[in-house]
Amino acid sequence: MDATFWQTAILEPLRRFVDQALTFLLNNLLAMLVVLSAGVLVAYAVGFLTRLVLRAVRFDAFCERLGVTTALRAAGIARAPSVATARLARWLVAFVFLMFALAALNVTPMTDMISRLFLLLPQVIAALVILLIGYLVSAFLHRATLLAAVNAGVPRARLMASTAQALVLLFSVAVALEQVGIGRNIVLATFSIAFGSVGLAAALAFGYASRDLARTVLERQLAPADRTDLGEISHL
Amino acid sequence: MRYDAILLPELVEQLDRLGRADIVVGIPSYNNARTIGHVVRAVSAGLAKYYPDRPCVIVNSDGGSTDGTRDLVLSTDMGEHRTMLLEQRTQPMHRLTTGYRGAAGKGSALRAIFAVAAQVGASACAVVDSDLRSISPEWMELLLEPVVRHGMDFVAPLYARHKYDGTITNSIVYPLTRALYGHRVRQPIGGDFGFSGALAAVYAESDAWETDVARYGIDVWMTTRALAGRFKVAQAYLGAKIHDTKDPGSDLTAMFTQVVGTVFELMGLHRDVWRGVQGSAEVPTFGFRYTVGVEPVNVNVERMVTMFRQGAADLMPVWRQMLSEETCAALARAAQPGSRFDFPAELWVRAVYEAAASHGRGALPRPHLLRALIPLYLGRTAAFVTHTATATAEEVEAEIERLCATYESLKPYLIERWDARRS
Repeated sequence: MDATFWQTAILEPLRRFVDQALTFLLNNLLAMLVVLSAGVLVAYAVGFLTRLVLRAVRFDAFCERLGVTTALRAAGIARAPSVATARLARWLVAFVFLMFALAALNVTPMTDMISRLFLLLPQVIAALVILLIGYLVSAFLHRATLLAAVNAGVPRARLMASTAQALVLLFSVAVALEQVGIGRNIVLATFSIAFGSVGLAAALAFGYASRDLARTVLERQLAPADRTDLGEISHL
Repeated sequence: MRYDAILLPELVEQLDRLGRADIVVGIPSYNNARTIGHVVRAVSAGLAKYYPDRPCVIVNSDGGSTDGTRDLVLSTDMGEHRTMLLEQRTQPMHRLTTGYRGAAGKGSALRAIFAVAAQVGASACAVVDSDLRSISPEWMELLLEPVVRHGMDFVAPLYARHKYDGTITNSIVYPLTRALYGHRVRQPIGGDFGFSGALAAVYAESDAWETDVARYGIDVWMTTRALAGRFKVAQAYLGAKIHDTKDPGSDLTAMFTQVVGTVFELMGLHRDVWRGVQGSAEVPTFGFRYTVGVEPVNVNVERMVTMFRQGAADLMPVWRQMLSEETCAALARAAQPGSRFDFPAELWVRAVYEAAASHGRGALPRPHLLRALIPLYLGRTAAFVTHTATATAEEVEAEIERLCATYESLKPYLIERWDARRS
């Protein structure tokens, strides 16, 4: 093997590779790093501003009223809702910039994947909002049902309230999945069957197995409120 | 000032024709045909007897009765003057009946009456419930005379009641109002009041009519506005208060949430007034006190205890959002089955104060917070009834006095909790 062979077979390709690698590093990778750095800065700024705005509008008190703070604590999130939301906003912005940074590398398969992800992003965000609203409504309904049932002296008030909450959550999950287009027909069929079954089972159980209970409940509903239960007491 | 926006057009026309009147007596009603005739007769006789020389107006403000209540108001005959020891009037006495604007309820009905009083330039006014069976003509003198001759602005009623009658009044509204505003008005939600024309105008011009004030909250709102506004407040002894059978639709939840909600709402509005008040003082009391037999009241204590225990079992997470950890722990202990049931006065007062502060800061949606208090109220009422089972009316009154003293002594705790909500 002479020197020309080394030159053409080994060194020349190696030099081209190094040139391309340097070009890539200097152009695409540098661009990615710039986008990523900007992303970190913007993410922190968005997080900071979100926190400021949420504090100004007393978001924590609002969440406490709706029971969101309690639910977050139950889920192991001890931070105030305003802090948690600000962090979520920060990470969301950071994620978007990460996608931009990866796109800046200009690697074709990755760019395609990111494009698809961005096309799906609005639906994902809409689904998350639907889930959040569904959760808030279900928590409110749970407490309202629980209070009404306890004050009416209904046994198993918690079961009643949890059932109401579960149905609303189930509904919001179904709508959220529908939004992102996951198993559209399956979700619809499952939801219809589940709702229908619960209704039918409740009707059968109430009608056949609990006739006496049904009569008692109806009598209670139709009887003058409170007076028969608590005596002749005049509260005012 | 004219009140055309509050009153219905046909009533405005009638008032324009009528001109000025010195005394206005209002009777709010809704399907009270069984009793309103008696109330109208008593009011008419009272005005004829005590104010024959002053132009008077009796206004019935009706919520859409379908049983002929309004016709009865206009057609009821006062009876033979001579047998009732009455003189011929030198000034006219008019009777009007009208519907009202706004949400259905006693508050909206009274708003129309306040507007009538202000529009005709009345110097003294009274309102009485339309379901009263025990009203007599003397009630007019007792409710109006402190205003007409003694310069009072607001006259609350003072009744002889059964020891278990008026439990929301006795356990919350009276002691809390007294501790907050420093005046001992024994029946702040009595339902029958006298007041000056100036105070009627203040009431009519208020903007609280979209709240529970339009319903059950009206009575305590009237009393509190008079106390917080530094008007001259008195009370008059009216004897026994006997109602017609209660409206079956008037359930505990609505009564409790509307009345207590209004008290809490007013606490937020008048915080600068009550913060500096310490202790309490008697208000001038008119009328001759005498002993009357009152109807016995049966109370289902066992049911109340069961509902309190169910509340403790199911509502503890909700209570934790509005009450302190110590109070919740004490409530859990009180709800333990097995031992003799007790709900100490101090625990009750702390719970009320903590709930009031939580209501002020919006710790929970307000209807939820008020509903969550109902099992506590039932538990406290059950304990009170158990403790006083063999007590006389005087001994029960002494027990209520001790509860009031607890409210007053714990007022610094209320202020502490109220201030803590801001930090």
